Amino acid sequence: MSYLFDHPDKVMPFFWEHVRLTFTSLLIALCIALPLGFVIAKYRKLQAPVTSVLGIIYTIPSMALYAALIPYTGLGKTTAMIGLVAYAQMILVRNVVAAIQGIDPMMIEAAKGMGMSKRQIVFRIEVPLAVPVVLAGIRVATVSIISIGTVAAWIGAGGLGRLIYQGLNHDHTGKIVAGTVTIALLAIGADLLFRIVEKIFSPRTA
Amino acid sequence: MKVIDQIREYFEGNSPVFFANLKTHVWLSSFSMILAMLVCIPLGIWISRRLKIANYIINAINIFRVIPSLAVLALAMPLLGVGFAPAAAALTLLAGPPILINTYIAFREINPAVKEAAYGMGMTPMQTIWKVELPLALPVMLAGIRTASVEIIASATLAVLIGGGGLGSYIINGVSMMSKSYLLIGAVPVAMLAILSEIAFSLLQRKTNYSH
Amino acid sequence: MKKRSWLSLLVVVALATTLAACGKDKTSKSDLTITVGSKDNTENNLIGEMYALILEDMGIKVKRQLSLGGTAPTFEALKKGDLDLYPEYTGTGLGVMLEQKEPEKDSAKALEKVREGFKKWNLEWLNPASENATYGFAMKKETAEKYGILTYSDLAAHSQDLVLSYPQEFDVREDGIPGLQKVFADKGGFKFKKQFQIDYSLRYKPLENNESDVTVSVGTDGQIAGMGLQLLKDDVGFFPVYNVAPLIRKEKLDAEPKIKDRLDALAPLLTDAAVQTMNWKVDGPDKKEIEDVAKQFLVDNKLIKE
Repeated sequence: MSYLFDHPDKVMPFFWEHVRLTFTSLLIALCIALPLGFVIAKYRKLQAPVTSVLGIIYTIPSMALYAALIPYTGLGKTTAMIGLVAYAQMILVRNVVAAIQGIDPMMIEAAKGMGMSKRQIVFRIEVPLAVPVVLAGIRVATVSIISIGTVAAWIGAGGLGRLIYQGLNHDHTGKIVAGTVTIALLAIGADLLFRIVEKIFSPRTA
Repeated sequence: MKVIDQIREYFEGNSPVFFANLKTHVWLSSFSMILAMLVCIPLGIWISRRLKIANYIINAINIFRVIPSLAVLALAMPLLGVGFAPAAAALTLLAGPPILINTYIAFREINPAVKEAAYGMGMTPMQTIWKVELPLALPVMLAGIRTASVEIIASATLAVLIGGGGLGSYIINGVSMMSKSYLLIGAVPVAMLAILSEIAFSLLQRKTNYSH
Repeated sequence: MKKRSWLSLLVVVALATTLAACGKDKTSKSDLTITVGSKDNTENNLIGEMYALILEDMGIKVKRQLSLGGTAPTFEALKKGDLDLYPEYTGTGLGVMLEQKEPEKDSAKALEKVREGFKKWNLEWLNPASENATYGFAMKKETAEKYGILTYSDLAAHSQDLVLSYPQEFDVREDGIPGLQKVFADKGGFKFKKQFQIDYSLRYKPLENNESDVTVSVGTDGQIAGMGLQLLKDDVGFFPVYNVAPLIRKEKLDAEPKIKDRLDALAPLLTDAAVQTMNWKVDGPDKKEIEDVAKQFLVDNKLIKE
């Protein structure tokens, strides 16, 4: 613990690097996962192939993926984010699909009966009902991104991984603890953020 | 071509080693998966009824998961040692959150009117969970379990870093020796295991969805 | 209304972080800039930092990309041009990059081969240090005494009673377990009661916690002296040489040929003993920072101005 309190000037830059890396990757990942998940929830034939491919991508060891990317995208943040976005897809897409397919068809029938248009059904019924499950997926994905994000240190993209791996490589327990405590705080902070978002979106459970 | 020859050469001399590693990998993954389900499903149901503490519990589990396993294991080494035990502990922690969070959300989102109706029919809380809520919650729960299983199979490659063996040995060696053949000997079976569990769970999931 | 403002705030924050992340990577290319890299093990990191300090002392603009995750990302980045220079081992160049199966035990020959072989990538090896970061075996003194083990032959003779822990690669390399098992095929077999792999960064932990009796060490590890371990004697001349040397992109060396003289001056000072001492200052109880240890060494040896 003492390293954290004695050297906040050394820990904080790593922390902010990690924050930027996490949220930028998450945002990009969502831009891909939301439409993709929605499409494959509707076109069921695509579902198995797409989720399998995403599952396989998830099993590619991060170090191998990054080593393979370096000849094309080099060291640094871009490469780190490509990996993080790719890994996050498995969790995000899957939850989007589960969210949409978990909607009680009775609800949709009822909406149709009330004379809602297709568009209205998507935006007034499906989206609001899907949001809690999608948010659950985002929470899991964020934790994954924060966690895998430590590997970014291996390719010169910085972040708290720098501190943790320095600690491991130099048998410096203070640095390992400082890194793990800080990364845990980041996860708590991110979760807090999503709880606020969740409250905004689902007033009926509040 | 060259890579294929190297792989063939490896299997000619070392296939017992490969199958031992494969076995360790499967055993480690399934053990951790079952342990994670045994802990996280009941816990998820329980916290879905206690919304006030739910987020604290989810957070607590998330914290452990977010810390790189190697760091946790290095810190816990005097306690857990090396080998199967620390590897299984780390994997169980990794698999926990998707199962827990999805179980919790699935049960929380069940229309209270449904539960009321069940109680009204004279069902006990246990019966309500088993006969009414579980079937309704299953699709979302299964999505979580499916995610967790892919995650465990992929992450079990880290077991080797703590003396737990498994297919990760080939991957770590392949990366550090920049050898495509070793990398493939490890990564392809891992991907195949993930696909197998995908198929199994998607079949299960298909049976539980509403829209059929 | 409230929902809207929250959402727009989120979007603004997210966009701002994206832009901030994208805007930073531009550097001016008016004069010579050299990006110095290193792998993330203590010794390589230390030596990479020394290269960086020496170049800075020459007035060259240096960008540091130290502590990358091992040979693969570091070498790939060098080939791509994201790095210009990093410390690499002749043995690694030969065994990993040039994929030569047969380990090379002669320093001069190893150097000659990598210098020739790396021409195809336009990479040059400067003079290697005298240190030899090759593999070895270390045991606690009391265990070694109990079994009377001093050499690799002794180890092979008692292997079936002992537990071996080793870092990645050692179980598949010719200059690792497979090769040793061939050497000792008729003399104990070099087959252990139990053997397991552990991450490189944790390689002394099982020994420390009595979960293994023998660990694979690297010749320049600070732990051997620091933890008072018994380093076994290679009585069969098994392990090849791993001399560390600056591996540099040719166009950068051509742009400033004096780099060679300055880095060559460092090479002979990096002896096994000197590197072990520095490694232990970082890995041992002192917990010194790499930058400080590297700088102190260069200043003490008058390789840079203070």
